[in-house]
Amino acid sequence: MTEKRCYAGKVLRVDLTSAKITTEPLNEQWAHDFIGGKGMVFRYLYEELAPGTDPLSPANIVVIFPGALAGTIVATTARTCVGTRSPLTGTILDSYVGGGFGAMLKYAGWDGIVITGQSPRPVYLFIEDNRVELRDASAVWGKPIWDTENWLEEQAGPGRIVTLTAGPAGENLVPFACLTSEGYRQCGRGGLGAVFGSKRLKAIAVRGTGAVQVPDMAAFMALYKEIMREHLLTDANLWAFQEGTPSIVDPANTAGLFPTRGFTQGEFDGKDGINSAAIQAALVRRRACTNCPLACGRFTRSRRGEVVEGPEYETIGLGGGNCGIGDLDALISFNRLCDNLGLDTISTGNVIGLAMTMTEEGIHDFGLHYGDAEAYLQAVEEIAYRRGIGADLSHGARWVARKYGGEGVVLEIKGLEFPAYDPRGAFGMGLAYATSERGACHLRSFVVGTEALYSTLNPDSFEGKPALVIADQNLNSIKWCGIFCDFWAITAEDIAALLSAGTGRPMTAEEALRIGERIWNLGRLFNLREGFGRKDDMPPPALFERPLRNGVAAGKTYTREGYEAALDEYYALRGWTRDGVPTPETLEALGLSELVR
Amino acid sequence: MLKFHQKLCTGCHLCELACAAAHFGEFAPTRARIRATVRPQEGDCRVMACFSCPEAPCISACPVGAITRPGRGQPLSIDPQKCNGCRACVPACPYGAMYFDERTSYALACDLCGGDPECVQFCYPQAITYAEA
Repeated sequence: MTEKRCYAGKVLRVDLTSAKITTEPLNEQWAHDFIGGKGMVFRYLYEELAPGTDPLSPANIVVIFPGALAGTIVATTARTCVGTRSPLTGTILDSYVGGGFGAMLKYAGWDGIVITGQSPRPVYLFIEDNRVELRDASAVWGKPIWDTENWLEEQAGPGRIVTLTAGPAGENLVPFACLTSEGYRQCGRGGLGAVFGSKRLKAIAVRGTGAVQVPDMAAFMALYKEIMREHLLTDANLWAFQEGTPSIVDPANTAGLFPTRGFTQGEFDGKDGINSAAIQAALVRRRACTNCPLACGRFTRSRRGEVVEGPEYETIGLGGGNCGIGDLDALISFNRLCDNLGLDTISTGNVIGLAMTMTEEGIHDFGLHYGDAEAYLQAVEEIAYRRGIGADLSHGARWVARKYGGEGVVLEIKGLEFPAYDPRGAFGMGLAYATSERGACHLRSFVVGTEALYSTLNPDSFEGKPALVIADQNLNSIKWCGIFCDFWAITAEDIAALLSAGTGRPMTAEEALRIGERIWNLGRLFNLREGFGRKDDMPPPALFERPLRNGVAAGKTYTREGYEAALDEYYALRGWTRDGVPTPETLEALGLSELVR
Repeated sequence: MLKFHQKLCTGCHLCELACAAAHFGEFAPTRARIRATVRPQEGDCRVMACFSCPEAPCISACPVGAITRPGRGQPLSIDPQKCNGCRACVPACPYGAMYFDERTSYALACDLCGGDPECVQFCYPQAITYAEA
């Protein structure tokens, strides 16, 4: 192709059952309508996954798409979207990893990868430009992440590679096992590690020696330099460079929504041991994702000499406060264990915190108590290897609550455990969690920032929140086609301008948001096809019945009428029926009618 | 000359893209005259480009005299007409700062972009700085 643009123009398809590797052209219509990243992943999943597919069966697929701008100089766009049907929730799942995997895949000449089937033996996928091979991975099957990464590097020989690896938790099919890149960066949520494990796919290693093009380099650089100066390297984003996500710990405590002791409190008395100041005192150095000046990553060293990149806010919240752990050394150990074994720190901290609460409240004795660092670290290992109490806890919080009578205390939606913002301290965030297609997720809408953390917009009311949540969800859906990071507060105008300059196809901000809305509705269609509906867009009983015991949100709960009215409003604004089904008119307007026929 | 402050390097590789875009009009880290080396697990990051070191052993290592230095402190000049792609200069550099472009088969050394190095503009952490010689 002589036409210069940011797409490579081809997609890699790998069938693990037959070991057949094929190349297919980029579907131009899909690229036009769904751009890249999240959009392309959702389009493939909707097209190729038969309803009712068992997530851990060979029939499930994994779709990997960097954003359209991956490999360019545009900040944060080296990110990669990986999607599948989640073994934890049964919903559509899109999960994102930073680092350099997405950029490297583009330099190798691929816009994406579609993986089907199940290998008869452990393998890894090796990609070096057009050379693509399934290679024996039996030498590292059972090995933790970091050993595997080192082995992959040895196998690949000289020259930089970037890898995506499942750990022992994934091999053992723990439904909240993650995928890891560059040591400490994860597709964290929803259990992609388990899907890799079920397919006996240990890892993907990529070396790309080629280039990514844009239609007019001089124009592209002029546009980007202006956006970088005016809208990227500004106070709105430089918090990431200066402090990173640990900066959220103090405001979250002040707002009374910091996950504390199994989500029973909103303010953690031990937070000074694990807040930004504590992280700063243990700081070794900063580290960036590929092509990102914000460098939010932070290496810390514990007094025991253990080093980790992290802990990030979510890990501090769930592995720290939620387990009653205010000791940074223990938290660093937790972070390292989860990272090396391939576990999502959010779900892991949730399920351990839940077991602690159920133990403390006499619901079921797991032998786990708030703040017991030794038992908590042992639980992480037992979860990854599914032994001891891990045999139960490894199923996730919903399963544990149902089996042992903890339905009244568990915090999850659609089976995905809560992130580190207690929605009793930010009501809009409860709606954001509940309407997220992959279950309780803080990234699709971060309305908590506006309503509680950095300004206070009636945190204990749903008034006006449905519209804010929808605006975030639509914007983020197109943003994650770029893929732009959550930590860049980029506008639809800049997204549209940069995508236009990269693809060569003019796009307005309005069109960009329309594509975001289209993608959001496509995710809804997938979930409806799997039997999800209004009943699944409900917060757990604890938000209605169990007020927090301390902090500024103490004593506050949702009312049924209040929440139902907010959900009605959300559906109406979305152009969905009262049951949460997009109307024919909505689908028509978004160009999705043909998909439901 | 370019100066490197390794403790500040975050391993983002933006310098490579800025360099390749300026010299070749495409985003291609393997064509850059400046490269970052990163060990992700340890977080070790370092960036290196030719800074026209006084010894410049690459000059005498080149069998065809393609590498010259116009003056003290000036960036090296590599004549693509003369360079035969033998790569003798690459291991000769004690700083690992001589690179090679597989596409055109000639050696790559930093030319300071004629006095306004593109990589510096993209190095927000200021691991790369520029001062006129």
